[in-house]
This record gives sequence, C-alpha cells and structure tokens, in this order.
Amino acid sequence: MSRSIKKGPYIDPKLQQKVEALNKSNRKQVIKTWCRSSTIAPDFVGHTFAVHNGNKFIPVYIQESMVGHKLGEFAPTRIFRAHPGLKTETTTTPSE
Amino acid sequence: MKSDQAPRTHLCAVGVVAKVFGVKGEVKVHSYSRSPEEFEEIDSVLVGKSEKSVVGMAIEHVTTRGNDIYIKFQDVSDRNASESLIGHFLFVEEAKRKRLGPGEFFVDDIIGVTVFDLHKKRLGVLIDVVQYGAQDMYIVKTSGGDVMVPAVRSIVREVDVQKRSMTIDPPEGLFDGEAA
Repeated sequence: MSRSIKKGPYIDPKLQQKVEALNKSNRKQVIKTWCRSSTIAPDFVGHTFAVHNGNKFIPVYIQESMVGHKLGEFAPTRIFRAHPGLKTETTTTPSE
Repeated sequence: MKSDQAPRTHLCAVGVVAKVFGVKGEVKVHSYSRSPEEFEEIDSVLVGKSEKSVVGMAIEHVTTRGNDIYIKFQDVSDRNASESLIGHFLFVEEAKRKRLGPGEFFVDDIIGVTVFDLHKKRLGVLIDVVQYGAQDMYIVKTSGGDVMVPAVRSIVREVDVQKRSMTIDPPEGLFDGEAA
C-alpha cells in the first residue's frame, strides 16, 4: 500500500536541515546518514550522501534523475560481484 | 576451426561462452561490454581458455535478445561441438577494440592510475571499478584504506590515460572521513 498523498513524501528533517545549511554556506560536504527511507528532495541534487547499507557507508552523488526515489535504492545491501573472469572489455563513463 | 598459436598483440576479452543454445551449434555468450549489439559488427573472434591458447573462429551470425547474445560459429554445426566451448573466453585484438565515446574508458586502462586532487596532492591509486545502483564507483586505495569515489563529472574532473593520472574534486569528508 502506497503512502498517503495527503502526508506528502517522507524527507528526514535532520537531512533537510543539513542540506539547507550546506546550501546557505555554498559548501559541498559528504552527509553521513542511516536514513535509507528518506525521499530524495530537489534540494539534495548536487550533494553527496554516505548512505549506510548495513555494513558500510556508500557515497551517493545525487543527480536530478534520482529525485523522488529513496536514498536506500542507491546503496544496495546485497551486491552480486560477478564471477571472476577476464573483464577487460568493461567500460566506465563518469556520468553528468 | 584453425589453430592460431602465433605470437600476437595484447588481446582483450569481450565475453565468455555461458552455455549452448539449441541443437545447431549456437552458444549463449555473456558479454563484458555494456552494449551487446556491438557483437553484430565483429566477424571473427579468438576463442580460448586463456590468452595463450586461442583459436580463430569466424562468426556466422549473431542474435541479441535483450541482454543475451547468441553466436553461431561457422565451423560449429552441432550441440556436441558447441558444448566443448562452454567456459571459453572470446578475445579480440586490441587494435580491433570498439571505439569509445568521449569520456568513456576501458576499465583495464584506468586501473592503476594515480589519483590527485585539484591542488595536485596525491590521494591514492585507483584499484577497481564497481557498478552500484546510482553510478559507477572508483575504488581508490589510500594510506588510510580504500575509498569509494562516485564516477560523476562534478567529482572526476580529468582522466589522462597516457599520463596514468586522474584529477578529482572530492567533497569534504570523502577522503578525510569528516562527514556531516
């Protein structure tokens, strides 16, 4: 059952305060959080959150396409690291 | 299938044979590339358990279904022959590697690059690239342990594969652990 529209999205108030403070001072600092259930607000874009996955903190850089999702979606708690092999062809591109 | 033991330039693994498909010798290939349709442009590959023992094999046709790639080799016409290929890697010569777009890198080209900050201070060495939900993550080995750096342009400012260096602009707390 989805969250009532009347309530609006759940955004952790502590996170919001920290982001507002960083935005006012125009600083970029990693924000450590255990609050995986917090929805990503438009204010969060451009900030980096260290989201706890139960084991360690995963740095997540917030991009516009992530707004509306939960922080926890981007810090997987179980990760399948592919079978060892000769993975030389894999490519990587820093995203915008 | 022709034997090809001559010394050659560095080979690059593009996939591995996962299993056989059907009775006409088709095999299912697990691709290491992010865009499997690029297999359709290759007409031959080198097949082997390692770089040292490869044989050249011509590709008859390639079919892609979703992320799965099915290859029919010219000289493999039945299921028994194709079963012997399971677990073999598919290589192409480095010169025949696909062309990359701007800002795109082969993982093995950037592993080992030295990571600097904007003030040219050495932060560590890139040792791995892992794919997380949001973006790729560069694992940088520092004197204080491994640090994950999100692969986004606002943090990763410059990558110079020739000079083996990477310049990043990390937010406060990413390397010194003093997060808010």
